[in-house]
Amino acid sequence: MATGDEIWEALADFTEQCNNNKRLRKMQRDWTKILHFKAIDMDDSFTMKVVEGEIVKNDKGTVGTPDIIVETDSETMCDMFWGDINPTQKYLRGEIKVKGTQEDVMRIDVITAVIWPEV
Amino acid sequence: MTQLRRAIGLRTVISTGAGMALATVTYVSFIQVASYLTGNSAWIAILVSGLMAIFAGSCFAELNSMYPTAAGIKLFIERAFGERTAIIISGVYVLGQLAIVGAEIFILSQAISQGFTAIPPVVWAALFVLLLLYLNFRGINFAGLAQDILAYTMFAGLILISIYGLYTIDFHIENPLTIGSMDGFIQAVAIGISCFIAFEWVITVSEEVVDVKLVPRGMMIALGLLAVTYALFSTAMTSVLGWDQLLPVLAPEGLPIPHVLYGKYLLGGFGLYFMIIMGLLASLTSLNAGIMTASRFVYAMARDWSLPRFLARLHPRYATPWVAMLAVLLYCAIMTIYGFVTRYVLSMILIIAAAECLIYVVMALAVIRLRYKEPDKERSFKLPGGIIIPVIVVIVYGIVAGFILFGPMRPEDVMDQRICLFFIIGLFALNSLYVFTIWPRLRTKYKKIADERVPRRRRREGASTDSGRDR
Repeated sequence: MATGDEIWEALADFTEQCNNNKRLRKMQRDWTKILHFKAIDMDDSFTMKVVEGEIVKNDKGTVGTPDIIVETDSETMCDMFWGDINPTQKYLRGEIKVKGTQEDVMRIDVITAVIWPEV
Repeated sequence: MTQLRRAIGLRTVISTGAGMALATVTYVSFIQVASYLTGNSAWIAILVSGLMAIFAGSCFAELNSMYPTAAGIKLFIERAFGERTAIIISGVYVLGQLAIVGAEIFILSQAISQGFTAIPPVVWAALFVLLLLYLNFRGINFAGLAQDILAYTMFAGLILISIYGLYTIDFHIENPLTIGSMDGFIQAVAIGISCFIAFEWVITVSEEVVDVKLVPRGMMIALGLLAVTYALFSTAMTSVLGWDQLLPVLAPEGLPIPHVLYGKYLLGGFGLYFMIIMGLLASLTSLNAGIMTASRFVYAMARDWSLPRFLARLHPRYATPWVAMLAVLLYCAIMTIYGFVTRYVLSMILIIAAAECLIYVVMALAVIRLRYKEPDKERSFKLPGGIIIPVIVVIVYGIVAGFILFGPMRPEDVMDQRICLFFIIGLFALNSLYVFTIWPRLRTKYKKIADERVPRRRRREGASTDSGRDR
């Protein structure tokens, strides 16, 4: 089980990877959302605020009304933020649960597909 | 529990399920259903098909309550029978269902050219394919309120024009209870199944509903709405128009547009354009959503290393899976050309019905298997009566599938039945061949690429340890 600090560190790296990727920023330029990430095996939650494709803020805990809720165990969440797993495979096997529109589910996958195409 | 900003309610669940099923090809199916019965009793066969769909829908509901995800169908099969089976069955299902696009565009273009005679149907078909291409390319979907308005307008329109049609004949329906032979009735029910195609796609909204329990409830109400509207409209159409007008609809050289003939007969020019618009809206909403769902399925399979990776390429501006979308649209264009060249509309209807029967049987078997394999998994909706309902679904849809593929047909429909049989066998053969030859190599290749990449998390942890050691 990963700790909250490990996830937070992974989230910071994920944010950097996303914001520094010009191709991704262009693709997601019309995407403004609030995302909640919940680790189901611990009490920690995280909030990510995306404005026009840029991750402008991350918070510990749940802040605001989410457009998307992502739920998985802490290890998977940590690996997902580090880009060490293929989130689509986990999603298709029911190990990552996403609440949100089909469009938003697709957009989340777009992020990882663009920043880690080899995974 | 935290709610989503834009969670959808029961109204939209119903409009999504019912709207996806309502398509232009349905009107031809009504006449096909009626042609296998003696009296004006198509409504009985359609209600029976609807009732059966409710049983099948309840199996979907239980599985969806276990795994409420848009990736549902493949996931349900995989949990119950393994990944190979899941890929084969979902491949046959998706490709079989997309046969509707060929029939739909062929019929729609014939209908539109009745109102705009200067432009030939083939041009309308090409324009419609281009419109679908554009909408999918841009990722434009009719969802939420737009879906509600379109779906409920179409249903209200159909119910009103049905009641008006019955009013013009003083609600006098000849032989409404005469069904004729049992073989004919079963074949009529089998064709009637195609009228409910894609209602199960409502599970794609599982991740955006206020409460996941709304999905089974909405699915059942949608099926009820469809069954009643279809029964009413088919009865009105076959009662108002005589068989001398309807029989040519079924001939390969005839115009497969009974709804347009009905509208024109009742309300003249207004009725003609009214039915054209109704058909256009029905096709646009169901086909656009259908093609989008299919292309995202192909994209997800490519991301999952189950299909070649190039199918997961994304458009640099719109973030849409454009290669997967082009592959799906190419397949749809081939089916449309097939419709124009052969005019075997019934063969496409039978393919759709066979694909639906297949998935209903597999879903029911998955319910039974998972009851034993994952007995403790939480189910917010559980079918009452143990495995009785899934067993009924397996038996009934198994019989119906047998009738579709091998049952007695009218002589003029035998060729359609053979085409359907060979098409379904071909799909199974192609998917199986793929899964047992190409897929394992693809998996190994992509896994090797992924394994060669040093995990970033471990690398980072390693770097921290190293830097700690240095200090």
